[in-house]
Amino acid sequence: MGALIGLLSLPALFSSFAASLAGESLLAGLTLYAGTLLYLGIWAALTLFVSLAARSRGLALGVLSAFWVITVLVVPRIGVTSASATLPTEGKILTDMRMNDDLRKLGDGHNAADPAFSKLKANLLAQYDVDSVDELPVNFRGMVASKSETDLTETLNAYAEKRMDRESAQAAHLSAYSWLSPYLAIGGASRNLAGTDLETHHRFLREAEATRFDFVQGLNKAHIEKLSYEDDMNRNSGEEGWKKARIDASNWSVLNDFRFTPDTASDRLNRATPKLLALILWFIALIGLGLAAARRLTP
Amino acid sequence: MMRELKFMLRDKAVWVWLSLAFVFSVAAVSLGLNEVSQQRAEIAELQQLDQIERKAALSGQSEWGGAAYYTFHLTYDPPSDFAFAAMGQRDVNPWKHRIRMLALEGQIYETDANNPDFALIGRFDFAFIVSLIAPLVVILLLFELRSGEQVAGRLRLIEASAGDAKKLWRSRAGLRIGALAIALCLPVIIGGVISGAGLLTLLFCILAVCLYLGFWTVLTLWLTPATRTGAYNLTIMLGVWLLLCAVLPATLTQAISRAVPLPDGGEIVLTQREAVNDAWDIPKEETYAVFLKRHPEWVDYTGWDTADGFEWKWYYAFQHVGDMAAEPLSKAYREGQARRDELAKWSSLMSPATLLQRTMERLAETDMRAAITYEQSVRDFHANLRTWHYPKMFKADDFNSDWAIGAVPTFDPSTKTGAESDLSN
Repeated sequence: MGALIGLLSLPALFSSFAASLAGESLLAGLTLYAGTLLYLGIWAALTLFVSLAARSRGLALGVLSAFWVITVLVVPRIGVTSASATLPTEGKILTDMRMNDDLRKLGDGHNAADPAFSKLKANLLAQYDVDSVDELPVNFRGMVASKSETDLTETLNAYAEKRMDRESAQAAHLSAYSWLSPYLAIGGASRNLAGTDLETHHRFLREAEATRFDFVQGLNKAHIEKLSYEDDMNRNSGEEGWKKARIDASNWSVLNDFRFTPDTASDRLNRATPKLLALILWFIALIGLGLAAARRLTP
Repeated sequence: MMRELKFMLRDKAVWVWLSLAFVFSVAAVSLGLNEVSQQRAEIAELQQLDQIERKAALSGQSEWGGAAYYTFHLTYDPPSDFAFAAMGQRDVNPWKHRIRMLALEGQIYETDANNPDFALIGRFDFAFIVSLIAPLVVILLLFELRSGEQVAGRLRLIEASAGDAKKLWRSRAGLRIGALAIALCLPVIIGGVISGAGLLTLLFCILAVCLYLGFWTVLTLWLTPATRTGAYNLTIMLGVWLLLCAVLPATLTQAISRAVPLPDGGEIVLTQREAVNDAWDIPKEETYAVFLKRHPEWVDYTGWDTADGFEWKWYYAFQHVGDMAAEPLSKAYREGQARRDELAKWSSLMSPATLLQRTMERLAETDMRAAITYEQSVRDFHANLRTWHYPKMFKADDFNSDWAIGAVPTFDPSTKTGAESDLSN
């Protein structure tokens, strides 16, 4: 049995070394390997225990397959269904519509005449001590776009954070079922260790959004500083006005290269710890039961 | 017969497996009912917000172009009265949208995605219980029916005293599987009554479950002769289960996906986007030339009326041109989906588990066909929206927000062209 487990786990060991050559941390790879060994060990210990305890081979096989069906097929699905029943996430459309109620208060960033921006206008006029927006040294329409982008992003992010919190709560609910199903435990732990879990997905979303925001505000800055309010207002009057209201393509270089780096191995290990702990407990408990059953047989 | 019934009820293992099946079925049905009521509540709130939003959007407008730009329209596919038993495609394909009069191809692929971890694992619904778990229970109930008696040394005696031995085993197996059918179907009948499912739907469901259990009963009795040990028989049957319920369905799905490749969804959206974005920079006549091919009735209205560089009617014309550009890809995508479903339908004849799952999804109207029908109803609604707005924009009608609030088209899910009573699979 031990040899079989060793053989079955060889690909995992090999790939963890291969990945470490490609720059992956050896710690994460080896932990994943150890987790896989533990998982296979649980099945070996279970098989041993059931074979010792059951009266007939048929019964042992029945119990083992029932255990497989329950821990691999049934418990994960119950976990998923109960997570979405107890912690329902509302759909994006509903969130959007609720959010719209909030957004209506912010004003339309493409329309500088929107009453929501009158306060911004009054402040700017006072700051530069002028009487109308065309006397401002900055492009008022750009200021409006920039301000509304900030407000909009704040609201959108607040809703996005709420949604991500709920998803994390769901994931936590599901991973609590790891104690009932070693299959869920090893699945969750490998996603944690490989950096393909929900936390990583959420961090990706946040970083991508931050990049987008910086890029748009970079363009808005160019709008404020490099395009005069007069040219901007004449943008729709004829071909020449249309061309004059454009800024140089080089301004687009404010779009930073977006690079997403995975979490450090120790961070990933931390997230996987509860699931690995569940696996260790399963293993110890089954070994204990197996030993007890063996002792009962010997005398 | 009564003697056999008493005999069965004394068997502890039978009680264990039957109660397990019953508990699973109860759990699946109640979780399903809960999900359906959540979806209904969500739709109700969406409808309410939709009205409030339309009023707010329209009352601030002064022309039809802006009104159409700022007004979203809710479209949705309410869960059927039997959806609690099989969520099917509703977990994967969209069943609600917010649609504007802008290019549709950029809007229709938006799915309200659930937690990504969840789609990976799948739902614990009645269809899952019956198609995957019930065969195992059949196997566990029957594998030792004869070999068990053989081991106990009673087989000869029983067969001799019964007269017709075949009839005896048939009635014993029938009793057990009949009890299993009741344990599985009772919760679904109660659930169906609660949610108001049609009598015919429920009868079809029960019939399908019984046929499926019957298939597994015959298979198990055939493959578990008394001459072999129980352990051997069980191993064989578990192998058969794995093959029919896990390996075969997965292989068929894979094979179909390979045989019918779909165009990349991102590519459809990108094609539409590029056409729409380019329209700002190309001569207006070019856009109109394409638009008029589809809508020649507006040929006399495409003049440029104002000195301004922007006109709404031109804007909506190029939105539609964007859809037209993506049309070949979009059509190929939908045809591919339908083709895959068609292949899956025929290949499910080879895989009873898939066949049962598909039957349940058909009864629950949560199958691929229902998803395609809903998508088509959204497309029809969008087309309606355009033909309703075009005259107002091209003829530059005056905008009256009070009138518009009551008059703009709204989506009605009952206008779907799907056949509710069509149960053929």
